[in-house]
Amino acid sequence: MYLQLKNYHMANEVLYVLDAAYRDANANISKLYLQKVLYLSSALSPIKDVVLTFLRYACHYRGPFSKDIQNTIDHLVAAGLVDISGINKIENQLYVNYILTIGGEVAVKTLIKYPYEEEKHWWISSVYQLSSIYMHSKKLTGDVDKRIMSLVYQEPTYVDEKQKIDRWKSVDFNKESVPIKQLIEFIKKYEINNNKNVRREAEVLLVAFFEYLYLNYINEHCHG
Amino acid sequence: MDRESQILNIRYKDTAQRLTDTNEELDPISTKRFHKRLWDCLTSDEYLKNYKMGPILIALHPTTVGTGEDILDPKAFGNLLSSGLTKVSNIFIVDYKGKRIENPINVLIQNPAVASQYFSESNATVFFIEGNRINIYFKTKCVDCIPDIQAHDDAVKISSATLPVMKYKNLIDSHFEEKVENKTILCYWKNKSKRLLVASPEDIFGNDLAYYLDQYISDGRVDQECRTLWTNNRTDIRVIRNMDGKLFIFEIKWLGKSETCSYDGNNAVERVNSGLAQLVDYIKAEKQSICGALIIYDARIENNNVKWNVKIQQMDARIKDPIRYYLLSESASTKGDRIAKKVSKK
Repeated sequence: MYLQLKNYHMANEVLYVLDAAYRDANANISKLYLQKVLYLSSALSPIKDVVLTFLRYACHYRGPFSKDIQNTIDHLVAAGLVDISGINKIENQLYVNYILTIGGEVAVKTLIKYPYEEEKHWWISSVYQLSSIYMHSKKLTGDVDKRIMSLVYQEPTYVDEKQKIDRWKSVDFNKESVPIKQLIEFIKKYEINNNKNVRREAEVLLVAFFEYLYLNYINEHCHG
Repeated sequence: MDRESQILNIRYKDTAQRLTDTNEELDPISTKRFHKRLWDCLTSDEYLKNYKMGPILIALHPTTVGTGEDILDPKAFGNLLSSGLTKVSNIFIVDYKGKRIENPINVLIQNPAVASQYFSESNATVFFIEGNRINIYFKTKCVDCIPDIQAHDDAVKISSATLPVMKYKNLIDSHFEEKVENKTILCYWKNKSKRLLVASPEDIFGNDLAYYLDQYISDGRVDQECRTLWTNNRTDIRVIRNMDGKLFIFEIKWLGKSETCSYDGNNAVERVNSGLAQLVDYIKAEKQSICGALIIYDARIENNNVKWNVKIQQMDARIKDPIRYYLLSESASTKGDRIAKKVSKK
């Protein structure tokens, strides 16, 4: 297999989402779900200062969207690390599901031997696991794609961007003034960091932010 | 509510957050999954049909994997309750996935105080479920207490229907109107016509007020650990303001007659003064405290003001005037008649 070097980091991150889905027994994952997991992974990455690659998203009609993610998935399918597990056509739209191949599994196992990659794998897996927990919530409606969109729509950066009058809206997590980054920096000041288990401390905050997205959705849709 | 207040409220008040803050061995993500499944189970139709078959004690063990049945499946949980087995043995030790770790222990735990002690030596977090009420403990300390899981609403924590802790009087007034005066929610009369309260009514008022304040204070949370001390005859509610850690202390007292004792006449005044003196002690012992208030639920026959000893109050400038609520004992229909007569006279 051959992967273009500039896609290397992007490819790893996509593989980690698919690996998390595979280990969660869901096995396959839709294109939209994958996009949203990577979006949330990037949005919340300042919690642990994890350096991810997909940091720019356009505000699409189905939520934040990255062309780079789609291009990377296509490369991975061509390289045999990812397979298309299903295609549905609904109202002239194609909905594609992806699954990790055995080759992809081996690639992930090899990659996570490197500490930098293992850190990203842990982070993306944690975000995926939490998203999966909330997908079973009684108060979220629709299929899993709609449910994860419901959470993403409450992410502060996306909320603020959607309210702008500019025609072309986009989210860039590189910027320092991004609302979610500021909110994360704010709450981190209240944490007592005794450095006993830095990952655990990060997971505690990650859980808090997922609950934040969920409760804002309930407040908006269930309470009027 | 602004975003900063929202995230602080969630960080300090979400039950799953409290679980992981109290027990460092709990994995945050697995705990969240467990918490959600348990809540779904307890709000399921299967549980509602069988909730009187409790109480049940579920002990979450963080480091052992279970091989038994998954009791967090609502159908399995419902079957367990309806079988009547929980009337013989009601302790379930489970892992994060709700799977039983040990064979049934032939022990029956009937009250929260015993439940809090039972696993005090282990690293298990205890959920004592009695009807719709859940008390959560870790090594005897109270982690959280939800009086009615069916009415519990997490979204309140971030809604605009909340007030800052400095507006505590408004909040306590609202609690009195919504919960205490509405006797279907809080049952504190043993005999209404005789104005006789149940035993230890301060537990009823205090527990419910603590929960209410925790839900409806926008910029603070109730210190759950202080509720552990209620088993040792302490009935203060401590509210910590999120932004600066300042402390507000509320002491609960009742007056009148209960099943076990009586505070009337001079005894009532002594009781109020004793409550104030306790408050002075608590305030002086806590460097972060900035406000203390005595809350009195008055079940005496006559609705008379109580003259407290101002000198005790003046021992600390942070102590505010006591707040007294007179408990009405008339039924809804009597109250309706009274109001109708009053309106027709006008």
